[in-house]
Amino acid sequence: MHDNKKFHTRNQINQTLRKRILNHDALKNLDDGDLDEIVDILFRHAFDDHDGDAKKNLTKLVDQISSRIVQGR
Amino acid sequence: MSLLLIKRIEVVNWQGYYGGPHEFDFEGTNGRNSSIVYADNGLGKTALWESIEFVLFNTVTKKNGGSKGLVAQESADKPLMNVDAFAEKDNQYFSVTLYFKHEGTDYRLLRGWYPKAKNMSVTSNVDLKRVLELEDLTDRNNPNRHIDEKKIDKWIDDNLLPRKLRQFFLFDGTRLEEYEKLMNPDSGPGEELKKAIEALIRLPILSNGAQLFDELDHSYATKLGIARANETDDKLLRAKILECKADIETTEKEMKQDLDTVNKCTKDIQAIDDWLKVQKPTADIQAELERLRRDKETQTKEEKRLKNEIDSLLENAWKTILYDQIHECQHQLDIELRTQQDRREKTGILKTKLEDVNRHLAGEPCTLCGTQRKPPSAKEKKALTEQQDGLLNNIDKIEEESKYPTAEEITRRQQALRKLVTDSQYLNTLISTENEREKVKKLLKNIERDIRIKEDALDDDLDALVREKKAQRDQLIEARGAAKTGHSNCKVALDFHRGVLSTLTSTPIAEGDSLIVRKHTQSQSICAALATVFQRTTDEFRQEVVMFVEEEASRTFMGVSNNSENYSGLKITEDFNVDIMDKHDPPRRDAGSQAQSIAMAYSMLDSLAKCSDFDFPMIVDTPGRGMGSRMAEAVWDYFMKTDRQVIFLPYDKELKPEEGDSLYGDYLAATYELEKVEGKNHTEIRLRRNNLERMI
Repeated sequence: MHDNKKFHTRNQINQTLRKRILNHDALKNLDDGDLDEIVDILFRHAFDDHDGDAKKNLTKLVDQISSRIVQGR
Repeated sequence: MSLLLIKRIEVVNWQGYYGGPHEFDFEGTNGRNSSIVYADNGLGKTALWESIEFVLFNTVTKKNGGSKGLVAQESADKPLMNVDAFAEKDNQYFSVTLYFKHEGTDYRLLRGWYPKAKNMSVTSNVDLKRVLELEDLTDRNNPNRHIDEKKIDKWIDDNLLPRKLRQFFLFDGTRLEEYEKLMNPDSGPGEELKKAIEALIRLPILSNGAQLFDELDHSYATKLGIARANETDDKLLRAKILECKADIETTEKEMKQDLDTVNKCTKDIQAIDDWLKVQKPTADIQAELERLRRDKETQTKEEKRLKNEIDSLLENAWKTILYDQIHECQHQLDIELRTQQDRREKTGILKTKLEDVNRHLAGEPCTLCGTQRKPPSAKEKKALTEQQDGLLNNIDKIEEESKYPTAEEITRRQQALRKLVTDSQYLNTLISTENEREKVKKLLKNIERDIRIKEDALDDDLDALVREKKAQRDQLIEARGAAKTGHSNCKVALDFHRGVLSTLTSTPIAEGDSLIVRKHTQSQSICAALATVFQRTTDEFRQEVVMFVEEEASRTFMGVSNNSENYSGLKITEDFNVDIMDKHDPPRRDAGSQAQSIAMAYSMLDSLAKCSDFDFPMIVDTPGRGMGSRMAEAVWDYFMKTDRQVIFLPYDKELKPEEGDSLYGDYLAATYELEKVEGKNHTEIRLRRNNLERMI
């Protein structure tokens, strides 16, 4: 049972977002891992009826990113 | 070639299929993997179609919402477990097994319900346990078996087909009609369908992202406000911030309530619509009854109007009795008039003649020609005097005769008679009005008869229930409208409060600011930027996908439509309203027949499936519904010859086995005919695989 993560649309979305994020001054401190996680959360939120935690998970992720930036890590 | 290929389905004790396994092989040679399953209604065609939904998602959705029950005791509809099998103690189980190839790997997926313990007698759902197995058959001698239900379900949803997108791949002919809503945005909401389309193209990843980051942006603005309020020495500023925060919270709460109401109403309206769709025969009778009752009301009013008109006409109708006499009088009066005229003319002539006689007697020239005359002799005088006397007598006589009736009196009489003649027309009007009333009465009688027939055909309980549901629907629409207005008003208020908070707290980061203030400022900045990025990407991505879908759907439509020479393709707007464009220059919107709408639906489904991440076969129950034979033929012809795996399940009137095999056999892996065989103790459905080897 192997996961098929090579979704064309998902890749397209990922790439477009990545390009835009990298070009945005306020988001230059985000790395690929952050972006993957954001898309993962939103992907689950969009397709899983039971995932009501998207906002909570995104808040947690943004908090982590901000802490990292503020602490200069 | 599909990335997911259905190779075989096996069903045991599944709905109408008693015993088993009943096997359907869909894998052919030379890349032929499409199939047709022919059957008359009620012979297990839909059951087979539903077995795919069941094996993937553990449920079979009913048309009016909800799911089918497992066993007869728990289900008013046909249950999933064969009724005859359920009646036999040792046979109380059912299963569906799907063999498929995905991304080059062969799998076997089994889903079924079995008794919880050996030798136990199943009486209801609670006595059954679910069995789910997924085997990777790469090594057939040692298959890798998975039994973790949660993991398998998630894997199916993530990799094979998400449950909420199944309608784009597994659908029936009725479902196609829903796509007409895309062509007539005013005819129905179609919102659910549009949402599903957006889900299929993954737009929610972006649009939810834009919305969630926007919410987080505001959430961090509030957090920052609190942090600043806690740290400031300015008591007034702190009070203002806290007041603003409270306002925001209250408004957000109200907005949430309104949104919940809108969502709940929409869901309830959809449920009622689905239910009403199932009750269409009742709803149709009701609609017809409403129309008939409206007609009855209109005709009753008309009949009453005609009756009043007749009553009023009757008041003057007596005059019609004198019609002949009046005419006679008129005739007499006309004669009298002519006589008077003659007399006047005659008197004039006599008077002229008299004047001439008088002049002659005086020896004056002729009155008429002016000829000089000699004074008359005595003899002539005598004759002229006699003539003079005669003329005077005649004139007196005629004038005496003309004294009565006078000219005024004749005019008066004429007017009176004319009025009476006019009144006498009432009879004609009366007769035609009475005829008209008779027609209306007859029409009313027919309407009343039709009403009685319809009322007899209507189930009283169902009638009341449908009415109740319709009334509920009206109330829900009203409530939803009010909630939407409330939500919009709250949004304006929320923007205002947020603006105030932003003004109060948007101070640049300073040297002495705490870590928490710095962190919230950073978070807010990230979320605001991400919201913008996601919003822009949403808009661009939507445009790209719409262009792709339009191009693909137009191509398919031109291939599927039986009238493509008159069309240039489909036009799709960004919110997925679809127009069929005719070949005018410039192309313009064509209303399209129902068959063209269905061709459009097939084209949309096919192109949307192509631009989704899921390469799943198209499996259609009653695929020719709503289409004429020419259009259906065009649809079969197009899809049977594509690379995509297609499984069509037509009933006999849509496509006959001999016709389908002859026309499309070269493109198919197999065709099946379902036959019902009456057994000793039960009914079973037998399959007959058509021999296509000669064509292969």
